[in-house]
Amino acid sequence: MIRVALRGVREHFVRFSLSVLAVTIGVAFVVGTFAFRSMLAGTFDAIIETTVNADVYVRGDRTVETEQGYQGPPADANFVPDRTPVALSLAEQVAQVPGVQRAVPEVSGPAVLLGADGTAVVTSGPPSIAFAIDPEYPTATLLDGAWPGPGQIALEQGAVEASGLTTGDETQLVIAEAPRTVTVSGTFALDAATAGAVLVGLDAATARQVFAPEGTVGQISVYAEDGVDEETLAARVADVLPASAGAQTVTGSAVRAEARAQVQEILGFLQTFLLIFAAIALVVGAFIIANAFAMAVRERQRENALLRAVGASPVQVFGVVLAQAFAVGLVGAALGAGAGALLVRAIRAVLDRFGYTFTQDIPLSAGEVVAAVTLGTVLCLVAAAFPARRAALVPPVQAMHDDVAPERGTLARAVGGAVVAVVGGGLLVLASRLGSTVDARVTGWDLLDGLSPRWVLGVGAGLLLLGVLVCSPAMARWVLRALGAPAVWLLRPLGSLARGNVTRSPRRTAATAGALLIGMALVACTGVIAASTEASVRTVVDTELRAPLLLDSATMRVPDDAVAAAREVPGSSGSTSSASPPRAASRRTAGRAG
Amino acid sequence: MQASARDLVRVYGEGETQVRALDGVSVEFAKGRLTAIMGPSGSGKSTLMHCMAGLDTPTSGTVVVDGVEVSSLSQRRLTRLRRTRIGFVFQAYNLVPTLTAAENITLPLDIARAPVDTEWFDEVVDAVGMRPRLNHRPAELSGGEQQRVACARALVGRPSVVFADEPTGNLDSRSSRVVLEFLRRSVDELGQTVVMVTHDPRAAAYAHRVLLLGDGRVTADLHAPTREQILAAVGAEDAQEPRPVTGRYATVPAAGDSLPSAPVTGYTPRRLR
Repeated sequence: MIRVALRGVREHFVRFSLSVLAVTIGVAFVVGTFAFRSMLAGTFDAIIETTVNADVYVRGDRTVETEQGYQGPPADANFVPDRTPVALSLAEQVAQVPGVQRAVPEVSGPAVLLGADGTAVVTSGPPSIAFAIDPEYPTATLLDGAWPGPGQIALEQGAVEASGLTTGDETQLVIAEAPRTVTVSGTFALDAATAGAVLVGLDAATARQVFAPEGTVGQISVYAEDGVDEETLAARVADVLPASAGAQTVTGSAVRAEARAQVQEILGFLQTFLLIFAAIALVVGAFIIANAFAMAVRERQRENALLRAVGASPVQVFGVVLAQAFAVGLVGAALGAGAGALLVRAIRAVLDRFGYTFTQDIPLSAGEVVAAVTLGTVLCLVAAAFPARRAALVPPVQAMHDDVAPERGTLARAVGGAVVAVVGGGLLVLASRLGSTVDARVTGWDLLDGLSPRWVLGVGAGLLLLGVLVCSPAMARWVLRALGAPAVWLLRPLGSLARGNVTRSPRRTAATAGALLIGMALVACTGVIAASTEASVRTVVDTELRAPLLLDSATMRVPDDAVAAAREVPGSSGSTSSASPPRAASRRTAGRAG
Repeated sequence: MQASARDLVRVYGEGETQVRALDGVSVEFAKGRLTAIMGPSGSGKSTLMHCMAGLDTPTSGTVVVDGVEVSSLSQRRLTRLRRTRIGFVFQAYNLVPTLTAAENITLPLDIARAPVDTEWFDEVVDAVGMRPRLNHRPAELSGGEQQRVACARALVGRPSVVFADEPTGNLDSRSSRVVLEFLRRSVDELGQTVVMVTHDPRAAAYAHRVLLLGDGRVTADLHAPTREQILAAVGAEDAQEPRPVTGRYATVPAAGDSLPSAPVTGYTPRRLR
């Protein structure tokens, strides 16, 4: 029997290829999502491992509410909320603690580097950062030249590529307020993937003067001597810190765990978002598969009747169709797994061209691949189960005579579908009311008013779609009668034959239209989301950005003299940016005005 | 007694469109005999066969095959009955197109997960003369060869009864003769029991016994008839309600056949639908 099934797939592979494609696309999306996520996670993990590499951190004991919309310089790579600063002087104090090899205050900040062609090195997203570096700096390897002294800078490989500068070149670096002329003393590499960031190394004195003018830094990294473990060291460091310092001591592991959790949270959201698309592809795929198998079963009705006549049980015939679905699903899912991996490779290649560098290996766990392949196969089995059941239950004699079983009436479907659709529609109305009132007294019933409008909206939309699908066979006849009228009138006598063909078996017609219906619903859904996002953004821009011209800076900080100069421009009525906190001028929603 | 039916009634449809395909048929098929069932279209011969074989359920009456009462069996047991005790040959579409001739022949055994008796398999294959073409697909076989493969398939499980529904309906006279000779030989030499539905009096002439059906009833029961006797019986039946003369029963003498003239003249063929 299995042989009959597999030969059937092999003989009619072209017919099944659409089903295979449907599974392939769905599974490719799922695998691609997993791979994309693990690629990002792998990249960030590597960054965390190499940047958060100290054994103990001394940092502010309170978190600071960062302004909405602004994200701190990401190449700090802490991925944790901003904290109150700690005094720079604590570093010397901590360095005296037994077991401490080195205590490094972290001084870094935004910088703009002028490239070899005399223009600023601009990235399409990754930050441009200057930080203190010296021969002792962990994870950094000098490639050529020397570590920077006063008036010198060292460039990380990525910065070398982006700027076109080489050792010995003279260029300009904008840090804090003013541009300064510097010489490239050498180039270095970091162990971590830099994800496209432009990294510039400064000597410690310059860095402190520029980025820690008030004698405070974000945190102090403490490295242990060999044989001293993190917890012991953290306890010792905590003992020497005065309570008035407003500092706390945490182990490196704890900070790394915090950072990773933060990354996972962001990536988890991204994954959910992408998986929704994968789910959509799978659902549409299921419709295609169910249709393809319904056709295949119909076409091979006599073969199945023959099998029944020579002694196959209904279960065996069911099994033949399911075995075919299994084969189709497995082939499709395997192809999909491969396609998913390729998809991510393609995405990485594209991102690479835009300057985002990710880890080279795409870690896909066997479990994830197995899960995705299983998902695709099971989906195919479920979709084929209904046609398979029909194939198994056709009486052999009827099938042998090639009779078409008369379709069952559509009244039950009409009533059922209408009820579900009405309930769904009601929920949609309720959701819009709940979502647009503040007091949340819409129906007067606590049970309904307490519901979250989002859930009500989701369930309502789902039910409405389901209801329309269920009663579509009942609608098909009338809708097609009206739609086909011009054809009947214009194309005699073929028009009426054509209309007769589609109205004769409304269930079949509705099933075919169903796949299209779901597809259109999803397109409309994405369209609405895109349109409303655009509308919200436009509202924000319209209300918050009234100025005809916007001055922005790549360092996230517009120099004071630039503001003053702007004021002097004839025709400008004033500038508000200097009145706001320095960083507010760099809000991303404003975009870069040049 | 290998198979029997008692007071078999099969009604299709309801009300105005009701059709009594079988109207109280009682019949017995003896072991080791080739029985032909004849009758015009709509006489109920196929329905009788389907009811006997458990492919169709009679409205009333009982069917017993090999001591088992078929008419009261559950679907599950009917399936097992078809698998183990009944062989089928249909008019067309007998073979699974994706399997080779050999695989088609052993299909019932494979479905039943029963071992293939290679000695018997060889004997059956040689009897139908299909040994050289065992590895061909049905599409590569002629119509006659396909029917011979179907016959081998019907016999390979040593069924109690083989039911053949118009086995030569789509064949030319030469292929028909090969198939019919094999069916007869399977009875005479291999001891099988065969029930065959046919339109063709020449095919029926191979039978030990011919049953004539009309409007759901048995109208004649001939033992070891010659073709002339069969034609006479069919003609007598049709004489009662004369119809325009065209085809199906008008046997055209094949080249080399010496056809006695007398009985044919009294026969008025019934028009096809």
